[in-house]
Amino acid sequence: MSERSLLLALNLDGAGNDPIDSATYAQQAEEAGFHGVSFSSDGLLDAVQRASFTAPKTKKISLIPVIDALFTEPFHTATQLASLDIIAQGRAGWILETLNDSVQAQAVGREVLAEEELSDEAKDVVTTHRRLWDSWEDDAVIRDQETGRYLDATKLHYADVEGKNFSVKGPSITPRPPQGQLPIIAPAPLFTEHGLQHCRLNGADVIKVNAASLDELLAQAKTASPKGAVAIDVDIYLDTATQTGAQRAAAQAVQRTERAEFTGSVQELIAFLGQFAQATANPADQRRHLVHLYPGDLKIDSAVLINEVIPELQRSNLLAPIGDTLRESFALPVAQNRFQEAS
Amino acid sequence: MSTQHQLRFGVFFQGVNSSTVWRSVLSGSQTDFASFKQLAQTAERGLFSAFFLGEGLRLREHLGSIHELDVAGRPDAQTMLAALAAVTNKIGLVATQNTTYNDPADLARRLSSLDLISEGRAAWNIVTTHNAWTGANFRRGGYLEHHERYSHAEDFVRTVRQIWEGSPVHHRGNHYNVDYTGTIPASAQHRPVLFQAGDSAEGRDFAARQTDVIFSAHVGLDDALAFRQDINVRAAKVGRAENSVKIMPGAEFIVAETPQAAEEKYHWVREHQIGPQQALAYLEQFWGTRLESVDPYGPLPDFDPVVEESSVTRGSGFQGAKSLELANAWRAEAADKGQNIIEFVRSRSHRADHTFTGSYDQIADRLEQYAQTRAVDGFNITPWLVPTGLDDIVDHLVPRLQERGIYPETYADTLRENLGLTIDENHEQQAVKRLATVQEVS
Ligand SMILES: Cc1cc2nc3c(=O)[nH]c(=O)nc-3n(C[C@H](O)[C@H](O)[C@H](O)COP(=O)(O)O)c2cc1C
Repeated sequence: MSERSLLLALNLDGAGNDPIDSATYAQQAEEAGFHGVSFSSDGLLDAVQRASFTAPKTKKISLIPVIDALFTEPFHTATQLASLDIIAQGRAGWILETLNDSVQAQAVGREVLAEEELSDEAKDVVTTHRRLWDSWEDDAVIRDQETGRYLDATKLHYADVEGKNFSVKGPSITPRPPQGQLPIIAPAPLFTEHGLQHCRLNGADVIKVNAASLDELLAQAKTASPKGAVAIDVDIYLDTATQTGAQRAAAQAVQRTERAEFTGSVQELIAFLGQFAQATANPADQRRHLVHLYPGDLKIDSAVLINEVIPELQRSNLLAPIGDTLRESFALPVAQNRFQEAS
Repeated sequence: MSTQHQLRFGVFFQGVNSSTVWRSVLSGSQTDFASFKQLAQTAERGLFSAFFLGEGLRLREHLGSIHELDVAGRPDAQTMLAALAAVTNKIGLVATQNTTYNDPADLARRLSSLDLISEGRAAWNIVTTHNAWTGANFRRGGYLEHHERYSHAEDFVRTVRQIWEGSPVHHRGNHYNVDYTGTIPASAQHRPVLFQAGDSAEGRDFAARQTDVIFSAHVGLDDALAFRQDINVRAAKVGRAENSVKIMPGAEFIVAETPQAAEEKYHWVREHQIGPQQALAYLEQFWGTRLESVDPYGPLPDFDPVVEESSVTRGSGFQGAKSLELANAWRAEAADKGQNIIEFVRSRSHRADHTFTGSYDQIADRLEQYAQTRAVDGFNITPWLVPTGLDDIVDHLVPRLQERGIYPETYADTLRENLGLTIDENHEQQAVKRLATVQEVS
């Protein structure tokens, strides 16, 4: 197994509301060889802001906020994510969520959506982001002395999105981000016939599968991977010198998540990741896949991951090379601008 | 010297405007993080209280297409400020954010977040842009009438304040409802500082009721004194102490070692800000048609505007005006002063009293008058060059102000302290008081 196909991301919510702590974990993860760190907003400081605060303190690691697509303004999230990518020089991504609950909805005076509407809404929201990010061509700023033009209006485009529940005119107020298009990682149920597409111009780059058990997770990853890149979310509790992972998980006072849970030793985790690499292997197109780890205890689990798991994964050639941008780490092609004339 | 009134500086990184020079090799990127970082760190070296980012939620247009002639394209304010929090320690971080195209709960959450990330250095510059043209970028579209903008803004700000207090909020408004309880604790400065930029009578009353600092457009000494007086009267009516609403006008500084050098610099700046195309575009807004065949070095057009109302570059700060009246008045004024188009536009687009031009010593002397008369609490400086536009101010003007005892020598910890603000519990309670129950208009 020398495929070097896996990307590893570590969720940093365990650092709580201390941005400096969180940035320190990001630096350690970067040093160790993680591809990315993620931030979600659930009751904590804003995910994009935590990522952005971390950007100047890191150099290589990708910064991936988890953001809801339903009860947010697509125009705002598109410019926030583009700005994060500008600040982090191409290291931004987006883990898209659909938080379809009444607390989220009522905060912005809206109603929850019917379950079958989610994928359409996500498609409209993603399309809006894609089109806004392309609405400035890379060379729209011309600073032409002769004609006195700072911008070339022919390189700026209206997004003109007419969604089911909203429309967005554009262009963006923020220039095209360095990656052109940020990688979008979205939950599998949104990929319906009329909903989100996988690896298409208006779709998401990475399909995120979820399951109650690790075996089921592997089976789903295998099914999804022929179409494109896959991500899995896993809660992990690693064995330590004094406690097994299972003991640690059992001792957790907090409510269990809907994510699959891994408990066990370093060797068992490495074996599981090997199985994931095998299940998603696709030698023909060098596709990369993401393992998104939610540590049961950031301090404890990140130490084991950094000191024991990553070195072993590197020795066994499971980890993908870390690119200058998140797209590069995913081995995604350069994002062509949909508005650019084919010349 | 301890009773001496001190002036504070802020820097307004406007991002989209006609006053930032881009035609010079000295002009750096308007977008790269490095530019923002350099400007913010220079400001912090000069003990500036605040670093401001402007906002405009639709790309400006001119005669129906994207406006090409000025700098444009800016990062999202709070995303950028969160990154700047990582590379600065004391300077305040101010995001201009609109009350029409944000949701109160989301904005309250993000501003508290920035406030904690920066350890008590965040502020919100409240603006009320509400046109349907901008609304085309948002879920709600253009839902607000002009006369509603401040009642809506005030509802919005009160809702945000309630959220910041941590109590459950159940707001029923004309345009939407909010049910939300904040989850983010208060920062070292209690809540983000509130700035307001808007100049109508309603805007001023709103500021007197709700805000800590006014980002004003009244720069000349007499004008500034009159504005201070006006705000003090409005603030007194709502029970606020004299001078408790701080005032920081936006201003441009063109300074140099000698008066002659400053004068030369002034001409260089104006030439680089307003070229022939910018001058014609300025008139086109009022003439309502392309003027490309008109000589920018000649007199104003002798034919009349083709529109009755000016279409003014959309997204700029101008108000509509009667075109023919303006054209007649301007032709007379330009002829009277012997100005060609480019000279006329340069004189119009930068109001003389909004710019401090002179030697470091001259300007320090002038600012001393502002301190002595308490006309303002400081200035929000719009640099005409990015990212080096504050260098001479920080290196040469700030030390002279410090020698005169009218500029801080050190930083306190929070933005609130750095602006000399205190929390007046009484006023805070008034400001968040039960949201006005607004009946549905059908
Ligand atoms: C000094 C100053 C700076 C302003 N900056 C912005 C800005 O960055 N973005 C924006 O949308 N509006 C900005 N405004 C516009 C005001 O928020 C407000 O919408 C406008 O002045 C109209 O309100 P009024 O009728 O009370 O004057 C600014 C206004 C002033 C006076």
